Amino acid sequence: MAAVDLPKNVRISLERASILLLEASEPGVEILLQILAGFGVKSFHPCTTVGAARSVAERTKLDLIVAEIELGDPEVDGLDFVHWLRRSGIDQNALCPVILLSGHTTNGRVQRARDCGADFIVAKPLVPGVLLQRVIWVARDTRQVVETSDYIGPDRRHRNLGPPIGMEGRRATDLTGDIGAALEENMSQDEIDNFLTPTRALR
Amino acid sequence: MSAARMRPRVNTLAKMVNQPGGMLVEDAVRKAETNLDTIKPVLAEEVEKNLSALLEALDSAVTRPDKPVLDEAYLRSNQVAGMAGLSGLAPLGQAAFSLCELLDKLGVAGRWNAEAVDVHLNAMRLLRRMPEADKQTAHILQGLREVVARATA
Repeated sequence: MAAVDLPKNVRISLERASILLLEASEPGVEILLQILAGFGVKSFHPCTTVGAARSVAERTKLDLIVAEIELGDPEVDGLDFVHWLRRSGIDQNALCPVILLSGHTTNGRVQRARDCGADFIVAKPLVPGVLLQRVIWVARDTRQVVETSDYIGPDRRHRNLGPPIGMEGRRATDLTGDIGAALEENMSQDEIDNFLTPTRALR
Repeated sequence: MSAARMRPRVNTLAKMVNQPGGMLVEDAVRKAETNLDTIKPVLAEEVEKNLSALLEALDSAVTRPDKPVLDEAYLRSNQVAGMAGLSGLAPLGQAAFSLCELLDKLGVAGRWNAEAVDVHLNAMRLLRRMPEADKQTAHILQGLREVVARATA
């Protein structure tokens, strides 16, 4: 298996996590079961159809969803499921973190994958280290959820660089206006260090 | 332009992951890899089943097959791409991925290229008996990439 850069001496506790697995076939589900069981997960909800996955999402509190995009059904795929979930209004699960899996993704699905509201896409064949890395990443993700008329999901901006130049931002937190020339000299390295170095407070 | 509403998300997974106890990430990965090894024979069987169905669907398809046949072939090939690597046939998985790419691009263009598909099927027949990723398999896979590029240019 490919080597993956994982944090050293970090412990994870997934025993109480409730995870929905959506795959096209039983062997596909089995792969996920074996990997996640290795990570210590005990509560699984395996599904092979979008219908079954919807029904689980409607009645069970979930902490994570791992879903394949291509389910072998020309009418519906894993992206439709995530799109439905985000708009479902199911309080306990609508914003549940979703990791999508994909072997090959057709051209037509690439944009839909970006817009469906999933947190991450992991390429197959699955490598346990990569999947765990993504699970940890999703667990530590502090991005807010964005809701617009055509997108509901995690903020797709991993870095907040503000709106594009010349455009007004759409979020209340977006700052607008041009950055003018500096009014003062740059701070010296000592001044910057003083901000960062802990010093004893005198009474 | 529509308005965007931002709101924080309650991430229950975050609370769980950081609870005391649990296991070291390196142990978790090792355990998952050991678990996967136990289902290798099942996965190899599934890869073989999908590959046989794929070969049957596309073998000697001189003209463009109907959409349901193409959809089925794409799905089978995608299954092989996703599982072959875990059953010890990584090069076969990469060839299956290349066939998916070919079928997708030909589908978008509304074209068919029987020779390019045939080259892929023959390569996959060969690679199902070549588990190791070595110089030979690298050559075969490079050849497939060139075939896809030429057939879909």
